[in-house]
Order: sequence, then C-alpha cells, then structure tokens
Amino acid sequence: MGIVLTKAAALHGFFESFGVPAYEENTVPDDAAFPYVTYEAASDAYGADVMLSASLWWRSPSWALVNDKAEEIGRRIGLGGVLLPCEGGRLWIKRGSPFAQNMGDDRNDMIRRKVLTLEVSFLTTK
Amino acid sequence: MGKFTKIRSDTFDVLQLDAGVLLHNFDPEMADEPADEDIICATTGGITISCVPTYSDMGADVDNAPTDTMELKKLESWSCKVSFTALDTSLEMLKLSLGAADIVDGKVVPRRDLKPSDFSKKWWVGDKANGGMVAVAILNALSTSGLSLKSSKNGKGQLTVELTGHVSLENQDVMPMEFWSTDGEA
Repeated sequence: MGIVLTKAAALHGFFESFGVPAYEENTVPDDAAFPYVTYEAASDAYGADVMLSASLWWRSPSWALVNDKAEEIGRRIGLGGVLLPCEGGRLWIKRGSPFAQNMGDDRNDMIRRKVLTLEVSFLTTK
Repeated sequence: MGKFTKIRSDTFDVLQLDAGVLLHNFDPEMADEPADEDIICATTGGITISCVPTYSDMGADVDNAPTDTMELKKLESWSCKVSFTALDTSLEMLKLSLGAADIVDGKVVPRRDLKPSDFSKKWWVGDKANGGMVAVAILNALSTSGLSLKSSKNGKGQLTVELTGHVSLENQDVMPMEFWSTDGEA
C-alpha cells in the first residue's frame, strides 16, 4: 500500500505541482524569491465544501507570465475538478467564481498578484 | 459521540460526482472518454434518471387479505425516464425533443406517425469519486414530453426534454433501462 498523504500534504502537493514553490500563506519565508504560490490551508471533513483562495506572485512588468500560470492551473482543474487522494478519502478541488482576479501590491508596482478562488470538497471520513 | 453516529469507511469512494454526460453511444466495457460526436447536448441543472415500477395488489379485493401481501403482489411494468434541460438548440436537438419529427430542408417538421427510427438507445454516464463511473442505458428512447423551449432576458434558451424507454416486442423480457457502476483503478 502506498503512502497516504494527510489532507494538508495533499493540498500542498497540488499547489507545488505547477513548477513554482508553494507556501502556506502564513509561512512565506522573508527571502522567498519570485515567482511563488501562496494558499489558504483550511481543512474539513465529511463532505464539507470550503472556499479557499490561492495567490500567484510574480515580479514582472507585465501580467503575461502570471496569466499563463493561472490558465495552466485552471486547465488542470478543468470542468470537473481534480481529485486528490488523502487520508480518509480524497479532496475534490474545483474552480470557484471568479476563478482568477488581478490584484496589485502596495509595496512594489512590479509585483503581479493573481488571486485564485477554489472550492474544495473534503470527501473524507476524518 | 453516539456509537450509531457513524458512516462506512468507503462512503466517499462511491459518491457520484458532477452532472455527467448524455451520450448517443457508449461501451461500458471500454469506458473510454466520449468523443465529441457522441455527446448529445450540453445540459443545465443536472440530469434526472428514474426507473419506477408499477405494482398491483392482487389481494386488494380479496376479503381478509392484508394490504401489501407479498405473495399477492404483481409487478405490472417499469416506467423508465431520463429528464434533462438542454442548452442545445441545434436542428438535431429540436428533432430529438419532438420525437416523431424529421429534418427537412433545414427545418424540423413534426410528423403525423411514429417510425421505428424515432427510437434509439441513449446513455447517461457520470464519474464516481474513486475514478469509476456510473452508467445508465435507456433502451428504445423516445422523447414523450414534446418540445418545450423557454427563453429569458439575458439568459440562455432552455429545452426541457424527457426521454422514455420502451420495451420491444422482439425482446419482451428486456426492460428498457440498464445500470452499471464500476470502480476506478487503485
């Protein structure tokens, strides 16, 4: 039997699978280099639906690169969502609405932040 | 927590997820991803599938016979239906919803009589949480609710369709709906 991931590990693994570092939004290193992804690490069980947000952080003069990454994540999730096996069952990650929105950063006008809205169903028995 | 507040450990493995898809053709043995041309239409609000038996109580008019006596219950028939709201207003979809109709010179024309070709096998297939599928075949399906198209301001036109399955004289013991539920790979 393979390794069974915790729900937190499954969620982190999903966000880390897009080729850029992923951080739970409260644990971003001070020296984190762009680009990276941050995400809300919420958890639930027994079929509960939870809205989560994730942010794509790029330093760039244009929105092109962060837009491409948002599109890539959107395609991976697709119409029916993506199922992530984990302890007690699986997480069902679906697109929220609006799926992606631009947001500026007061610190630096070169920082491009794309906020993603996701709906995660915790199809787990614990 | 009470000892009877409990669910099976595989509860979330056997959930059916998402609305699924209506298909002209499907092979449940292969369970391949459907080709574009096999998808009947886009839908809204999900799909409703029902397969409801009609029973008669042979003891209803028998003095002293209890109601719903098992040995006196007779299965009369099955009513098998697939109901959905289509967002597709193509000629083919209008024809399907009318049932007895033809596409002639770029328009759909209701017909006075039914033809055997108006009946066809259709499928609904949906995903299961464990990677498997649930599939329902409706045999000799015909739209029996006719065409009902509703438009709305700033909205999408919606076509309400109800397909009814039929038994064939050539196979009178074959009821018009079949069901599959398979599990995904581990």
